[in-house]
Amino acid sequence: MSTEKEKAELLQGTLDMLILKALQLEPMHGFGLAQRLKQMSADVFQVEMGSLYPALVRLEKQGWIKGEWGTSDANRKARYYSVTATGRKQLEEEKTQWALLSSTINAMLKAT
Amino acid sequence: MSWLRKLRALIHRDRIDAEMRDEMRHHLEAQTQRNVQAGMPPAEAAYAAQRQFGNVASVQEQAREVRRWVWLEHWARDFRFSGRALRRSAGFSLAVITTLALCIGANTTIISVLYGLILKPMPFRDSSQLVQVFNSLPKSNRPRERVSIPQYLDYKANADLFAGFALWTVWSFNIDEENDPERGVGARVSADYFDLLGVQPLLGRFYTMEECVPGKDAVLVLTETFWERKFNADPTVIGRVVRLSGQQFTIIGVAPRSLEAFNSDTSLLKPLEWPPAQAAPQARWRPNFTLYARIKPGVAHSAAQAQLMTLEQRAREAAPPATRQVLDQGAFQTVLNQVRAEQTRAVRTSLLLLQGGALFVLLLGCVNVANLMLARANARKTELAVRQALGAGQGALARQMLVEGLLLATAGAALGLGLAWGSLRVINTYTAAIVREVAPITIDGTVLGVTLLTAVLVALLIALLPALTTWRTNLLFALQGGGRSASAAGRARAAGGLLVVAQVALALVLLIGAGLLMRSFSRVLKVDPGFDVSRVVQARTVFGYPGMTQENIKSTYDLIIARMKEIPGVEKIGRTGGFPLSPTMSLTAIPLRGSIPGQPDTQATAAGLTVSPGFFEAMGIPLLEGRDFTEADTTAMPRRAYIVDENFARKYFPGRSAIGEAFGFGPPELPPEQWPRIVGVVASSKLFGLEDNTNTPVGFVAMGPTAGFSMVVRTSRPAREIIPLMRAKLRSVDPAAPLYHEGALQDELDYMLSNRRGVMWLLGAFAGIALLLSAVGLYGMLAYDVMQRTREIGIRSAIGATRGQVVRLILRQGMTKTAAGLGLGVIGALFLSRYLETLLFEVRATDPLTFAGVAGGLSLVALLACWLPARRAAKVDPMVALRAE
Repeated sequence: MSTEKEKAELLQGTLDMLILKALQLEPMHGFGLAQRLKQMSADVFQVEMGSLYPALVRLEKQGWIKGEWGTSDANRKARYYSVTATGRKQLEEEKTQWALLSSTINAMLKAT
Repeated sequence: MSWLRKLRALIHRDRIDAEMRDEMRHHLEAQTQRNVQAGMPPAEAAYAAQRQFGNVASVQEQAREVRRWVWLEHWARDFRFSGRALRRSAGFSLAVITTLALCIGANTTIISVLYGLILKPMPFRDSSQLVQVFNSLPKSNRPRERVSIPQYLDYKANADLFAGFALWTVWSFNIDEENDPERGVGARVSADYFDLLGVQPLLGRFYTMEECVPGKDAVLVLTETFWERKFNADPTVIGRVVRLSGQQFTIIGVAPRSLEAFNSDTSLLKPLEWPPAQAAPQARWRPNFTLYARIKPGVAHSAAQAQLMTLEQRAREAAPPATRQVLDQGAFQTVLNQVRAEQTRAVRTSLLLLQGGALFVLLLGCVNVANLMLARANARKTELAVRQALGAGQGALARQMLVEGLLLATAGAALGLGLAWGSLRVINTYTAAIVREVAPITIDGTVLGVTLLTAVLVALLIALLPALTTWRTNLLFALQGGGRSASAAGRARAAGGLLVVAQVALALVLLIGAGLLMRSFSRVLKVDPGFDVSRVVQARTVFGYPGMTQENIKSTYDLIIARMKEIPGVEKIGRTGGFPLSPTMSLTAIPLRGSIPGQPDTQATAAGLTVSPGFFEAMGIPLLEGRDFTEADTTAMPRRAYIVDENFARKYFPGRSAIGEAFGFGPPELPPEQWPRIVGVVASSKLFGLEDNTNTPVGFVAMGPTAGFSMVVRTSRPAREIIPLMRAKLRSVDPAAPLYHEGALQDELDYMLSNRRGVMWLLGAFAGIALLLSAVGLYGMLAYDVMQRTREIGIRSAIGATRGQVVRLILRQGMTKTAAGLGLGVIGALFLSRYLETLLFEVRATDPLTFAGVAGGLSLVALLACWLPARRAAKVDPMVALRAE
């Protein structure tokens, strides 16, 4: 397995977690989600559409989020995503793991 | 992850793609709107949105990839992994695949035969409405009598629940008299036969009812097979004139092959004609024809039958008192049987039995495979636990098991189909002898579907069982090495043990079935035929031409016999009008003079055979009392002498001599004082085949010179030497006369047993497979168990258990299960063997000797299967065993 792929996977995992977090508050459509992620990271993260949409498909297939057709503020048909019960559980798990991972890495970086 | 969702994604790919395009378009619109709100001009806003989003198609493709890739990847990975896993344990895989191939092969073969012979509809529209009509006299032991012309005419005119009736009778003729005379078999059939079946001529035309009258009936319809064989499928054959038995016939048509499904030994058809006398009312009780009928669609068979019974009731009123008495004594009724059921009557029971046997083998095989998989799953417990700990879901592991099962089942099914294909080629060489109406049996689409379905079910079964037992495995326990050091988990062991018990029981049932059949067969072979089988050759001939005078017939007949006697090695020669041996000799009602003691309600019946003086001597049938026929008996008109066999004499004249008693064959025509008298009693012999144990009384009538007869030649020379000489002698008298139905009586007797022999061998083979499978199952379970308990056995040895004690420990474990299986098997066999009863011969379905012998034999095999692992257990070195962990 190439290092590049591992890196991609790591990033992918992070994005999934962030999407779940963003959707936890309210169901959103793709565009809204992109805006929200940007806003949450205080414009640090620029989410690529080529990552966002595949991630949505993946999360939906895992059963963590659920997409439904609804009507947007502009009275236009839009696909809204919401977090499912298993998705919430998954988010908690990922948060814990992330905390463990980041604290471990931080500790390792601090150690000489 | 969900299967349904994946399936949906696969099916609705187009819709999902469209939805995704929609979704992204919305994204672009929203972005554009945001840009406009931020103050951009609309055109520029849309362009900026595009730029911010990136390549729409590429994003779509990336998203799509996620969906597809995962789906494919999971399966590809499962299959790759399973393939690797199975290759790693080649012995295991081979055992499973071989077991499955044997089971699936056996089942596919028998299902194919069953389907080809019985279940497959005949190639005619609504063939379930096609029936054969019988006059049945069940109380006189004559349940399947034929039908007469007056009955046919009556039904045709008055039975409106039927779409049609057709009369049919065998018609034999000599053909190719100029070159190599041969006896052909065709049929005389009424013209409505073609409408009844709904067939169209392949060539030319069929005949009409107007041609079914004497004088207009010299027309022929060939069957396709005969047309190809004799005329090389020549299309100009229509209108050609051919000579059959010295008579001219014009070929008017060729019938399609589907017609042969009705009666395959028919080579050609001619109109069935009858002289007025045969249609006269009194001829109603002289049934001589086969009657086929088609019941109208939607009419129940019982209703149709009731209608014919009503017509018969009306006819009965007009019958002479003597006839009425015969009908009443036999409890006359009309019976309708489906044509296909009628054709396959002889093999139906055997085939259903064999199918039962094959299913047992399949069950046994599944049990064995499940046991193997269980043992394997147990051995892999640690591996599975590790994978589970690393994050593989229960579902993923189950899927893995399923894929393994599927791979094994597919390989087994493929091999099994090959096996079935081979077996069918062998079986096809025999089916023609049993049911001629059926084309070669093939594995057809339906059967193939059944096989594949079976394979999938088997895969599910063998995958689910181990998956279920490992479902709630204690992870920690397994990881800590529990799976290795202690004995296998209790539940898995109990399941394995139960499977072994079931196996032994199933195998015992099959073995007992096969054992009973084998004992029957050996009993049949031990039957004394009552005549000299080894030294008698039979051959039949028909000579002459229409209108040949009785004097000419007599001189030709005498000449033929005289010439035959010239052949060196011919010691005696007897003749009979019928066949010396025949499995189906029809019974005739015989009015006996005086009352029948002790049987007031039963009509006396007997089989009749015309025989020449010297017939008994040639056959080697001893004369017990009185005398043989003389030449004078053969010419006396009316006949004055009968000879009967011992069965006849015992049944109808018990406790006294039959000599001098009188009876008449068939409905009485002569006044009783002129009835012929019995002049001799011969020993009973197996003229209906060795299997016949009905003790049917036989009456013999003196046979005079006739144009068609069978010769029985007593000779010390083998049949293959004598027959060409007989043919040459026959040609020297009449070059146009064929010699047919020729061969040694021994061969004929053997041929008559072919059905019994076939069933016995097949069921025997199934039982053999079952025995092997159960022995392997028992061995496998114990061997695995010993391996698992190496440490326990080591401890036992270390604290002082002797080798004998260890061996006894393992043996006891195996033999307890065997004993339980034997017990269950005996109960099962006691219950099931009754279905064998019709195939048994002088052996009871609960024959204690067979039961005991088979159980003993199975125990010995089981003991061997247990002893091998027990010996290995005894060899366990305590130090090595304890240190191994």
